[in-house]
Amino acid sequence: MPEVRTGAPYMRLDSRTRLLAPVILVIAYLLARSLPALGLLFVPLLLAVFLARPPLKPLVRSLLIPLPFLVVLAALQVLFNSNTEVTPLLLQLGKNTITPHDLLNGARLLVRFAGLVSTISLAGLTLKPSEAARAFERLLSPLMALKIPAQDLALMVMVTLRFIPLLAQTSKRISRAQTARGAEWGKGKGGITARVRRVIPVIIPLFVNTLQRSENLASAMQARGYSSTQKRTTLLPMQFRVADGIVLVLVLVFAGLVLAFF
Amino acid sequence: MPKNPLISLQDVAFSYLSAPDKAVLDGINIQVEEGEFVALVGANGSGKSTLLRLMAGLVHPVTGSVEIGGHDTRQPEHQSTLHTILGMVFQYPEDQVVGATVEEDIAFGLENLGWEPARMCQRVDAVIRRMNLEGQRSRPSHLLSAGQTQRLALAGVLAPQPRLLLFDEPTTMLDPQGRRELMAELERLHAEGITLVMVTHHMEEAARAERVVVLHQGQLVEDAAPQAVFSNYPMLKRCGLSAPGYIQIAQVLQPFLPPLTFPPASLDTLLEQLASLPAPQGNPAPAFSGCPSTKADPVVSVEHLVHQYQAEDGQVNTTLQDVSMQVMPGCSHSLLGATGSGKSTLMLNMMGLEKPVEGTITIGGVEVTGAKTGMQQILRQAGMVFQNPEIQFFEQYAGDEAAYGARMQGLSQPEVVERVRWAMEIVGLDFEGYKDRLTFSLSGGERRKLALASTLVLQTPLLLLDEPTAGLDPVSRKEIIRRLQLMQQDGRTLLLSTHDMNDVAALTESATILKDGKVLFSGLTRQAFSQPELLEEAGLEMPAAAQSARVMRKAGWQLPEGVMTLRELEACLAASLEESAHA
Repeated sequence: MPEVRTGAPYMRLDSRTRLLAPVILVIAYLLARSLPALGLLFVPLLLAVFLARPPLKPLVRSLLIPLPFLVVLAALQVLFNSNTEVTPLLLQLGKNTITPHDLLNGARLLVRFAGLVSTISLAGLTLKPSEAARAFERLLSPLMALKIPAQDLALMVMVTLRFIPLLAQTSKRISRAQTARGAEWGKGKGGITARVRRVIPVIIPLFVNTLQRSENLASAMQARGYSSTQKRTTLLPMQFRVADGIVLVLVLVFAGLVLAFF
Repeated sequence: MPKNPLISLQDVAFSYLSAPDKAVLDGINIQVEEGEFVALVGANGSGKSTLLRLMAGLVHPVTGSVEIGGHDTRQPEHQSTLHTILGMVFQYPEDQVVGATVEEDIAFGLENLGWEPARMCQRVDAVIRRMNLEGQRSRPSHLLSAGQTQRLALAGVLAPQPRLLLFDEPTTMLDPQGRRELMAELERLHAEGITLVMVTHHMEEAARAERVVVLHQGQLVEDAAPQAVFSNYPMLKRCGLSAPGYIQIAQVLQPFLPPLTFPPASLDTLLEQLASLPAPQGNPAPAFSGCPSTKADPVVSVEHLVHQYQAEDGQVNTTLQDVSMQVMPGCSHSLLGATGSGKSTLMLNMMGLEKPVEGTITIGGVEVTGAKTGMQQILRQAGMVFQNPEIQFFEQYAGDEAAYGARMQGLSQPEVVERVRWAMEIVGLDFEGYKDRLTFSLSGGERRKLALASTLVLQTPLLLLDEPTAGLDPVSRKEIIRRLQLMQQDGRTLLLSTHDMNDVAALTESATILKDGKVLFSGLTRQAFSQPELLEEAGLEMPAAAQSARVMRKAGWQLPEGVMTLRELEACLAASLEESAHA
């Protein structure tokens, strides 16, 4: 039975498509030189948002949170650049000059970052970590012929993703337990050794605990029949359909055209 | 022709490569037939967990053989067959969940066995229904509650339809309700003909098996029906075990009530007999006195506390709603309630480690919730021992571990040594003998004691304890309770959060029961234990001694209301019946 594909049209695409399409876009954003090119790259992005109907709130939030930082960065770019072109001069601030070229640079930086951030957060919203891990596994599977253990790598990624929240919980618990024994984290007196010494009561137990957990997990996986040598099947098999091919070709061609002509 | 046993261990010996001379198991012979339910019991270090891992084929014997369904576990070509026969559920459910979502985790074992996706999908559906995980199907596994995680761990193991299930202390992390549900699930599986082998520290659970295997220092000591094992007191004592509560009660009652069956098959049969047998004539035993100091200022005073937190999905959850309670000096207090009722959050608020939205907490005159109150001020009033406190250890030597809190208070070296000596002696770790022991070489019970000592060095009048006896074997458990009683005699007030009603009865005079973040009851523990409906609503259970005393009072025994422990029951019976015999 193929993967259950319900919901928005974009979400019905194969997870490999939903992994690769954003990757192509990110590369295009990094390579694009001109403002129109950067602007045009928003077309597939907006189309994807329209077709995926992700929750808009986190998408907007992911743009707004780094925005002040980006504006400052763009302002710095406008003010302090090593641009030799000083005409036509718009404004003179002490030694610094502002030209239309500088403004364009700043705008490019803003648009580029906005595109990168929204592409990556859209990918995060439309691709579950486990889907990403499996897509990654399948994309790497041709490498199995070269004795690269794609299956193990993908499982490693998946298990790591699963353990990160547990690790966060554990480190919170340990630091609280040590606080209840009188540990002080905030007081930043002393040199680097004093600081390192202060975090030892958290780092060492976290390390020991993580080792124990990974040992437990390894036993549990072994007891459930995992071995890297055998062939596994998968609950949610992937199916690369015509639509996936069309989407990927379109994204690739569009990005190529934009980079070539703008 | 006799049927081959499902599990067959022949002259099994095992030791770890790191210590080949130290036999973890020696001369073990066990046969388990298809469909049996076997409990493995023994003190910490008796080798019972290792035995279970041998049966699972995770480790192999040094000498002798382990055969599962006729397949030698040592043969690599049998490995994949083994995984179709057996499944193992480990102690900590969150450590055995591999998949990022519920369905992916359930399918993990099936994927390894190479099942067809369509068949796999059907099986995953069936298991989800059976384990009551509907609606959680594509939920991230780390967002599940403790009970759901436990069910998921079992679901993943059940998916490949094993004939044999191995359980390693499966109830350690569960509250009474979860424990009851899991035991009922085990009995359902048993009824379906699945063979079960379970390692447990809870003798009540072991008594529900058909067969109990007792291990002691790597040797098989006894292998018999539960009633035979649990009435052999000398053997139990030698192996560091104890009989289930209801058998201990029956033993105490028998001299007063000779027709009583010994040993009883279960708590229910004991209660039935107690209700039907005629009560002997006696004088009324004196009633219990209340809490000694109700007029003094409370040690802990919580007023209208509200606590909220924001979950990962952005939802705001209220964990404590208008909680008010008091703890009187010298009158130890229990915080009771199911998992997720808010006990731990309340304790963290008391230590100033979580901040409430509304309300105040005052501990020993210090307003914990005050904006300017610092951690050091709180730590002069209260110390907290977290659940599984062993994970906080970071020093190489036990003495240094215990000293950390005292050092952080900026005491001089001789003062630190004095405090550590005092704290270690109170918990029962001889200072000279233990201060230079390696922390990680201590046994389970010793580690728990060291963790207690490492909080005790703060010398606070109030001690907060989150599940202080969880995960310990019966002997270590008893010892920790005894040490905590010594701390009470030393003038310290304890505030205990626990799922074990016997700990509550043995240690605390007053109690607060929480349900879904609200106070259901706050008053004397005896009062709480005489209201079965209240306990049921909170998902708790009465200690066996309290249940027995209640039934006996109804049957006409001259017992006061509110008997909580076996010792109290014994004393009341003596007061009631022996005096009348003299008269």
